[in-house]
Amino acid sequence: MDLKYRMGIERLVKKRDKVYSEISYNNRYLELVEKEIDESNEKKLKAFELKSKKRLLPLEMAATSDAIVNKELRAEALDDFIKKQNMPRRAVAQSAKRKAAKQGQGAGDAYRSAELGKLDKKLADYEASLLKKYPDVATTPPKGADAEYQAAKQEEEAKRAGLEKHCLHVKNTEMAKIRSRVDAKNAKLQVALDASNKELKNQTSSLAEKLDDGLIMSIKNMKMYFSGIKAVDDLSFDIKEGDIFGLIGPNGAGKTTLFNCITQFYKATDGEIYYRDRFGNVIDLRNYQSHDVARTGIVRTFQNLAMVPLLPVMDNLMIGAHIYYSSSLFHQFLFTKKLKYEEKANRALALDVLGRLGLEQYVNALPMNLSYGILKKVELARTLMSKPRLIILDEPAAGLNDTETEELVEVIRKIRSDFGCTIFLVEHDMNLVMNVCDTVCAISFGKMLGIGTPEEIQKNPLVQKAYLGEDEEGKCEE
Amino acid sequence: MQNNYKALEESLKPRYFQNAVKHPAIGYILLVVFLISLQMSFMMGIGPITLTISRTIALTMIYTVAAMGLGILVGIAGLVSLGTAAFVGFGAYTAGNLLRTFTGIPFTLVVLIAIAVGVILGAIIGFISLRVRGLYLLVITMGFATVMQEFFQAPNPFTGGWTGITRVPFPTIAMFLQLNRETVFFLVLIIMMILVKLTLNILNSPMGRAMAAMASSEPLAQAMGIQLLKYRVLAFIISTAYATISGVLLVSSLGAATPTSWTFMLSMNLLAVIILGGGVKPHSIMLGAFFVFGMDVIIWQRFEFFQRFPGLVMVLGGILMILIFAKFQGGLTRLINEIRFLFIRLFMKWRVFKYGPEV
Repeated sequence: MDLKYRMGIERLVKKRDKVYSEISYNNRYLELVEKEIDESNEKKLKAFELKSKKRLLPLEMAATSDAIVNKELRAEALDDFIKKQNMPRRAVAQSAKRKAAKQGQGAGDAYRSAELGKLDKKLADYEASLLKKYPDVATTPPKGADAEYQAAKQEEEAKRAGLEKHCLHVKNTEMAKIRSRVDAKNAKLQVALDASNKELKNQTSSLAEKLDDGLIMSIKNMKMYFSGIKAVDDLSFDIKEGDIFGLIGPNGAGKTTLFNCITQFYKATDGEIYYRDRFGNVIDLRNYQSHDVARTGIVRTFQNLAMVPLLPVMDNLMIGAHIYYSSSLFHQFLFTKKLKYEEKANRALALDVLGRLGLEQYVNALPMNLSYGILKKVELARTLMSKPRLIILDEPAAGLNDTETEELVEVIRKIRSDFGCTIFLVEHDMNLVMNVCDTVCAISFGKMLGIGTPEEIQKNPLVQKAYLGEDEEGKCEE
Repeated sequence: MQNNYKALEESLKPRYFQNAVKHPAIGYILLVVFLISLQMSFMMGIGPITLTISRTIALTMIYTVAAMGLGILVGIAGLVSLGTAAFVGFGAYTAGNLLRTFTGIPFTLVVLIAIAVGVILGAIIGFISLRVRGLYLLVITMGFATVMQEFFQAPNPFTGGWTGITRVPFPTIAMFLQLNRETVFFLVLIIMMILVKLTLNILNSPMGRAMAAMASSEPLAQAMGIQLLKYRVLAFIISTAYATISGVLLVSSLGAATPTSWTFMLSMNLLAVIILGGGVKPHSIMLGAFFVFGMDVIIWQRFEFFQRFPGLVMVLGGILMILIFAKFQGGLTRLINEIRFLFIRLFMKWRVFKYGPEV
C-alpha cells in the first residue's frame, strides 16, 4: 500500500486513540473524585459524632443512677485488666510445659497452679479495689438532669442532620461543578473523536465491504514463507464476533506463525487480514506495527509465560493498561495529580479483574513465587486490562494439569461472558478445544484441513488422518 | 455508653509519631538531617569531620546521582553502558566553561544547558544502539567513550587538553547567593534529593513499568503496546542527563576538571555501585556508592593500620566484593534485609518460646 496513505491513516488512528483514552480517563476521574468527596464527608461526620458524644456523655452519666454507671465502669476496667493478664498467663502455661518436660508432670502442674493462683489473686484484689472506687450504691439523679440530657441529645441530632444535609449539598455542588467541566471537555473530545472516526471511515471506505456484518476478523489467502519453507500456505477463514475460535493442528502446522502474522510480529508474505475495531471501522492490520496492534483491541498471550519477574502481580497487570495512560512523560516525571488519578483508577480496575478471576490473594505476590497455573491466569488478567475485543491465546493449557485446565476453561468462558471478548486460541489439548470452542479450524503444514463445529471436525476424515495416521483411525479413537 | 465512645476516640486520635515512622520518605528525610548536621558541625569546627571527609561525602553524593541514572538504564531497561564516565566528563566541561566565561551565570541555567547536552548525547547513543544488545552494546558504548576520552585529552579550548580546566568559580544560586567551599555541599545535597524523588517517580510511573517489561521480554512489551524505540532512547536520555548533572555538580564543588577523572575505571566503579547496592532504588544506590567511593576515606583511613598499608583497603574491598557476589547476589540491600529478617525471626522465636504459639 502507498506509504503516504498509510502514514496518514496511522496519524489519524493515533490521534483518535489519544482522544479515546482521554475520554475514558475523564470518566474514571469523575468516579474517583466522587469517592474522595464521600470519604472526606464520612470523616467529617465521624469527627462530629465524637464531639457530640464528648458533650453528651457527662450529661448522660448525670442523668442515670450511679449504680448503673458504676457497674459499667467496673466492667470496663475489669475487661482491660483481664486483657493485660493475657500474656503473663500464656507465659506461665509455656514455662509450666517446659518444667513438666524437664522435671516431670507433677512439678509442672504445681508450678502452673501456683503461678496462676498468684495471677488470680491479683485479679480478685483488683476487682475488690474497683468495687471501692465505684461503689454499688443506688442514687437518684437530680430532677432536671434527664430533661437536660434529652434536650441536648435532640439538639445534637438536629445538628447532625444539618451537617449531613450540608455534606450532601457540598458534594452535589462540587460534583456538579466538576461534572460540567468534565462534560464540556468530553463533549469537545467526543466531537474530535467522531470527526476523526468519520475521516478514517472515509479514508478506509474501500475496506468496509471486505468484512461482513457479525464478523470480527477475516483472514484471506494468508501466506507466510520463510525462504522456501511454506509455514502458512493460502489460509482463509472468518471469525464471528463473540465466538470462541479454536485453531488446531499437529506440531509445525504453522499455528504460532499465523498468530505472529496477525499481531504483526511477522509481516506476512501475502494475504489480507481485516479486523473491525471498537468504533466499527474495518481496518487492514497489515498497516499496523506490532506495538500499535494492542491499541486496536487485539491482545495476545505467549506460549511460554511472559511475566516481568521484577514486578509484583499488580504492576504486571498495570503493564496491560499501558496504552490507556493519557499522562505525558512530563506528568510521569513529576508524578502529577493526573497520573495519580490514573494510577488509582487502573489499580481499581486491576483489582476488579483479579477479583473476577479469583486471584485477589496474589495481588502483591512476585511471579516467581506463584505456580504455573496461576501465572497463566494472571497473564489472562493482564490481557483484560487493555480492554480487548479479540484475545489471542497461544497454547493456554500447555504445562497445566487436568484440574488447572478445567479451571482455565471456566476462566475462558467467564471472560467471554463478563467482558464480551472474542477469543481465538491455539491448543494441543483436544479436551479443552472440544470443550470450550464454538468453532474449530484444523490446519496441517500451513494448509486448511477443515472448519466447523467441534463435532464436525472430530468426524472430518482429513483431520483424523493428520492427527492419527492413515490406517489407525479405529485404534486411537479415544 | 462508655465503650462505643472509647472506640470512636481511638479511631480518630491523631497518630503523628506512628504516621511519621510509616511514611515512605522517612529514611531519606533522616539522611538529609544527618548530612546537614554533619556539614554544620564541620563548618562550626566541632566534631570529627575534616575537609577531606566532607569532600568525600559530597563526592559520594555526586556519584550517587550518576549511578542512579545508570541504574535506570541497567537495572530497569536492561541495557548496558560503559560510557557513563565520558558523559560525566562532558557535563563537567560544559558547566566548567560556562561558569568560567560567564561569571555570575544562574546555576539553574547551567544545569538546564547540561541537561540539554545530556539529552542530545543520550539520543545519539540511543539511536545508534537501537538494534544492538548485550555485549555488543557494551562495546559500542565503550567505543563512544574512547572517542570522548581522546577528545578530552586533545589540546582544545573546550577541555584544555591534559591540564583540563581549572579555577572554576563556585556557582551563584538565586541570583545573589555566592557559594563557597563549604556551602556547595548543600547544593549537592539538594540536587541529589531532587533527583532521588525523580528516580522514584520514574520507577513508579508507567514508563518505569514499560522499561521493565521491555527488559524482561521485548515481544511482551510490543504485544502490550509499548514502543521499544521510544523507551530505549528514553532510558539512554535519562541516564545521560543524570550523568551530565553529576558532572556539573563535580566541577562546581571541586572547581576543576581534568581528563584523568573520566576514565573507564569510573564507569566500572559506577556499574559496581549498582551491582553492589543490589537494586535500582535510590537507597540501594546510595549504599553502593558509599561502599565504593566513600568508605575508604571516611572509615578505613581513620585507622593508623590502614594508613600504613593503603593498598590493603583495595584488596579487602575486592575480597568483600567477591564474597558479596558469591553469597548475596542481591548485594548490600539484600544483606541488610537479611540481617533485619534474622532479627525479626529471632524475636518471633523468642516470643513463641516465652508465650507459646499464637492462639
